Amino acid sequence: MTRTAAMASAALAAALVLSACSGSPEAAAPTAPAPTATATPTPAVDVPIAAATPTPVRLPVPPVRVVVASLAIDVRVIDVGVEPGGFMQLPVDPAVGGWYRYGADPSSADGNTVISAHVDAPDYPIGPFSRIRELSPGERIEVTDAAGTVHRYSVATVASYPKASLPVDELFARAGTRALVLITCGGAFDSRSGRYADNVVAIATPMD
Amino acid sequence: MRNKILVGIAAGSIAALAAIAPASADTAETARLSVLHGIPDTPVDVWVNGELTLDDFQPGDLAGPLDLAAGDYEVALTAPDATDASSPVLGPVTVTLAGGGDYTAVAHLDEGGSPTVTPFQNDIAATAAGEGRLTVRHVAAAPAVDVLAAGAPVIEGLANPDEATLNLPAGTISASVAAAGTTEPVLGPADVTVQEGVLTIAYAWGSLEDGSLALAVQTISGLHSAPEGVNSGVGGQLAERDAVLQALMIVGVAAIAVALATGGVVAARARVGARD
Repeated sequence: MTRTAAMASAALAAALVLSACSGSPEAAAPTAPAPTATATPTPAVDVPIAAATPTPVRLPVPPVRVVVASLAIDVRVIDVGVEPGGFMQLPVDPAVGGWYRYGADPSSADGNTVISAHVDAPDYPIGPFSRIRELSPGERIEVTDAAGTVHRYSVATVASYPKASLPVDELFARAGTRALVLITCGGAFDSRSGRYADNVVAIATPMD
Repeated sequence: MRNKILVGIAAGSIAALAAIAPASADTAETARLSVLHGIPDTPVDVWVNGELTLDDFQPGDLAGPLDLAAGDYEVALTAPDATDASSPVLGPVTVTLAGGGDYTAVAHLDEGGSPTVTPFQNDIAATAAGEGRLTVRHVAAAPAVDVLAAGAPVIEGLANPDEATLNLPAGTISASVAAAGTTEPVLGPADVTVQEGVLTIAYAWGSLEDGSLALAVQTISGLHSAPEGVNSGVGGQLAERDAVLQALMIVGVAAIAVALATGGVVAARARVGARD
């Protein structure tokens, strides 16, 4: 290959790399600066340019109810965040589920919807999420959101993890997955610390 | 303003970019660059390493992000109709990009009102779960400022061309900018949303004297962390009930075993009795 052809193909490769990385929908055709003084050049790469103003943030449509008919689970859901110490916040009452408000909701284009509830708590009856461990693949879960839309999911996996091994980055992922993740506790209970040894996690995929 | 003599970089140096930007670049070897135009009333063309990169770039606009191989880059600003970068209105200025870094180069007025270019490095370290990050950059022809949240100073004495960064719980704050030591806003108050897992960079740019002070905003997302874990059981009643049920089952199995054994003995006795 001649030096000119090599430079031209290298320039094309660079233009494609740079335009792909900058998110441009079309690859820019490379144009070397014009040799004559009268013609003005065009940019060698296509860089996105926009006014530096805040972009509108998508408002979430939070889940408000989770129903697993086969296990008589029907719980109200509220939005929750993070406790001091960095653990997921949860409603005190085991009969109320908490949706992680910083992650996806069922209408999001991408990301997991994470809902958790206590299996039990002092002064409350054992909660409905205590039955999550009885789910089998293929069972139906329905999540109603604040707009009244019912989102249907089919259970894919049910697994138990020692607390310290809970794969939080995968379960709370905001891209590359659109599952419903239900998290609760199980295994042995340590009455000194007031904690269960394990997390029980059901992952369900959208049916719509 | 730093200057560097361009030695040995000829026209057609898009090939130079190609030589240091392989198609399959490892992230440790690439950097990310955005460019903010913060000089009022002056559209420009932006040239990187002698190549036209931004055409007719308008004040208040943000270009990028652009992924580039780590290294030094010559950035020059010319009039919008220039045919090359030989007569820049600003620069050339050397911008050094380290692998894995995220940068914004800002063309702006210094405190005295003269145009300059300042490269900033953006803090893209992971945010704590539930938090976002706010960076404020003073790139305006104005004296030092305080940044106030809900009327109280959270950043004090910020001068051109410095920056300050705060990690904050996600939420909305009413923010304003005032001359250092005062609380009368020169910018704002405006609602600033601190989004979880997002770096929001607010630039105060323009000229106080000319009445062109304005706020520019850049966001970089994807910095979030997952929570540490989920403690979803604090009573122990489920474990207790499981233990009771298990004990009952063991007792029940033992009782059935006893019943079968005694039933066998009775039947055997009945058969023995019947033979007599």
